Amino acid sequence: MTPQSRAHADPDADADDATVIQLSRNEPEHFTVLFRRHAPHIQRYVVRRLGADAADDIVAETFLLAFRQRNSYDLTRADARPWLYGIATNLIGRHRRAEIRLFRALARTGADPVTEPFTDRVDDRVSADHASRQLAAALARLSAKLRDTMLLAAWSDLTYEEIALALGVPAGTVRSRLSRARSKLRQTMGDIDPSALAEEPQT
Amino acid sequence: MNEMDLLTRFRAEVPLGASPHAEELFRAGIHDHSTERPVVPPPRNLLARIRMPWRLTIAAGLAAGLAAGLLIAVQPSSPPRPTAVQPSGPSVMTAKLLADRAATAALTGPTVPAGQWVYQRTVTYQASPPAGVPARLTQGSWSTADGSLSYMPGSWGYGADHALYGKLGSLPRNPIALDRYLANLSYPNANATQTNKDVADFSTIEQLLASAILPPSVDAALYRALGDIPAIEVKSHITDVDGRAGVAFVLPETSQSANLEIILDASDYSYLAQAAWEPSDGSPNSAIPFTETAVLTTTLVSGPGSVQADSAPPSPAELTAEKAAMALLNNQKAGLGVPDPSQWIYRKLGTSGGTQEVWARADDTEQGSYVNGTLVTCVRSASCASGTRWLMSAGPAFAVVDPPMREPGPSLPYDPQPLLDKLNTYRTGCTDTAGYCNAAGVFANMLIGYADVGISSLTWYFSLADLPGVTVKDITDAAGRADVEFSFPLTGGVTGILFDATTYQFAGYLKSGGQTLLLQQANVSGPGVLP
Repeated sequence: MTPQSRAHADPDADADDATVIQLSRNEPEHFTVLFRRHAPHIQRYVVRRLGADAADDIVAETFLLAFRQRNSYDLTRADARPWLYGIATNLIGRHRRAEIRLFRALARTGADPVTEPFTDRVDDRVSADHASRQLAAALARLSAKLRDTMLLAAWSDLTYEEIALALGVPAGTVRSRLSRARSKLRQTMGDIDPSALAEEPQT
Repeated sequence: MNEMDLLTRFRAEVPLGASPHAEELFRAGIHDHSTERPVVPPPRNLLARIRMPWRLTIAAGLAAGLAAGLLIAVQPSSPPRPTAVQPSGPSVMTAKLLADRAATAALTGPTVPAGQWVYQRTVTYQASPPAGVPARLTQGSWSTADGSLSYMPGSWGYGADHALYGKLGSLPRNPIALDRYLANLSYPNANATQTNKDVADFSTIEQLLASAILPPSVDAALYRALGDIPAIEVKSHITDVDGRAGVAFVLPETSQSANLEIILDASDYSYLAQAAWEPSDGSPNSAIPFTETAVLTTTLVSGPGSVQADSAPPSPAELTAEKAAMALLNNQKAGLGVPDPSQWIYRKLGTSGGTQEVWARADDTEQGSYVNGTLVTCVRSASCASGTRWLMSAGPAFAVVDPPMREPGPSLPYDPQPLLDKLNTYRTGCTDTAGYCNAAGVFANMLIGYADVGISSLTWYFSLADLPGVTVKDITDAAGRADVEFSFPLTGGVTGILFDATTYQFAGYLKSGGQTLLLQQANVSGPGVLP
């Protein structure tokens, strides 16, 4: 999110996240500013990974965990997004099998349970293009670490350095994971026949 | 199209926006917290009481946006005052008379040491509470009598009025000088209007009465100063939100401020409540809904987290823990020594066998030290601990200590005594578990070699003062430094924890008669790197 886009809707527009968090330590109600500021983007990220049904709980829990940890937030970090995306990504990790099931369902049937609630045209609903089906199948095969890194890079506005913060790894690790993830995706998308996937992943 | 572009477009139909249900869950969670931690703190902030332009901006922004849990909300019409009984005739009580009676009553109050812990239960009534917040919210919180430290489970802070309290030592006796003095606390440089000075005086006094336990003579002087505020009025025959009969000092509403009240007990003139409200003047930003915070009980207790009455003066161990906690709080506030999560914490340790250098990653995932001249780095685990012959594996995984960047594990208890009980369940190889030897061992481990425990360790310090039989004594450590030792009557394991006698920073520990001293600590870029 850019500072401009949050300016008119946000009563604490002048205060950066760190200031809001600092205020919330003595006056917890300030933390709702953080929710209003970032929940829209976090929600979209979580929905894209796990679908709308699971997302509500995870988004709420992300901000509640952040709220409980606000006393240990490093106030030198003006932007809380890496922190919040990191927490959300960790929580998503608890639903790894569900995420993989969703990818495989799309790969197998061409219907994406994740986007279904947001598309109202019948033909959209039933016909994901071949590339998307291949992509879903390839994402299902990525390791959790590579998938987390790749999807943060694609679906959050975080820089590599911020992704590194979110995942608690050095920035160099993010770069090497991304390059590995991309080559794996290229490679698997080349040789996957999505319709051949089994119903349940054997893990 | 490459895979990154594909990915960016993949599921792009999902719209931006938080779902109302997620927001509801978040609100409910915050609210659950509020049974112990306030969502809406008592309105003690002077700025909340004076209508400043930026406050109006916030109120307007809120009305336009979501009805978030902020204190101020906009309300189109005036809420009726829910419990007050309006005086039926001219008041026989004048402000001067009430001030005099309150001051006289205050002089009979107890003198409480500044470091005494006080547990206060309050009820806050809001006529127009934010969504998810009950109109009537009962809360408990702890602070030292002088307001230097405040505690709610999971949340440490400076008492709201610490700075004010610190300035009371030279409180002028002369009423005019006192008035000027109080106004200057809020308007040190500005030429405030009389109205603003009145509001500042009133709010300053209100904050002090509501949240610090003052020396009786200061209490009395403040009541007298209230009676000297030019615009002050008195309202008799009212009840506070808890239904108690009261009499109030009232600072009538002006274009600059809300209608403010300090309510005293009608029979003994002790402090009961503070309230603020104003009728709407019809402008969209005018109405601050009626809010009242009443003190239900004030109990002197032995420490934060305790609700049992205990008026014994703070023990030397408790006072030392407080000093260490204040030192940590000051460091945190100044951002001193707080590592970047990717940094490593370098520590130089002194033992009878010589010095040793150890490194711990700030997020505590890894540790490092030299083994036979080779730098060994490995993840924090028992096998690594034995391999490097260094950091003991006992103690909680760092994830439970509330770090900023890590997946939270099960939280350690917030309050000192439950925390102590929990820490004592980790094994550190000692036998006197009834004496909490494991808790002492974990404490020593954490501070000597783990990553940044941060502000959580304030609770740990207070736990330390709760160990059975703990005493404090001054010692000179093997490095020649003057330290304060928390000394535990244990036969094995860690028997003492050292803090620098001047700075109250952690200095080391005693185990089996030997000292392990923290000689130097710094944040560095990686393992093996020296500051």
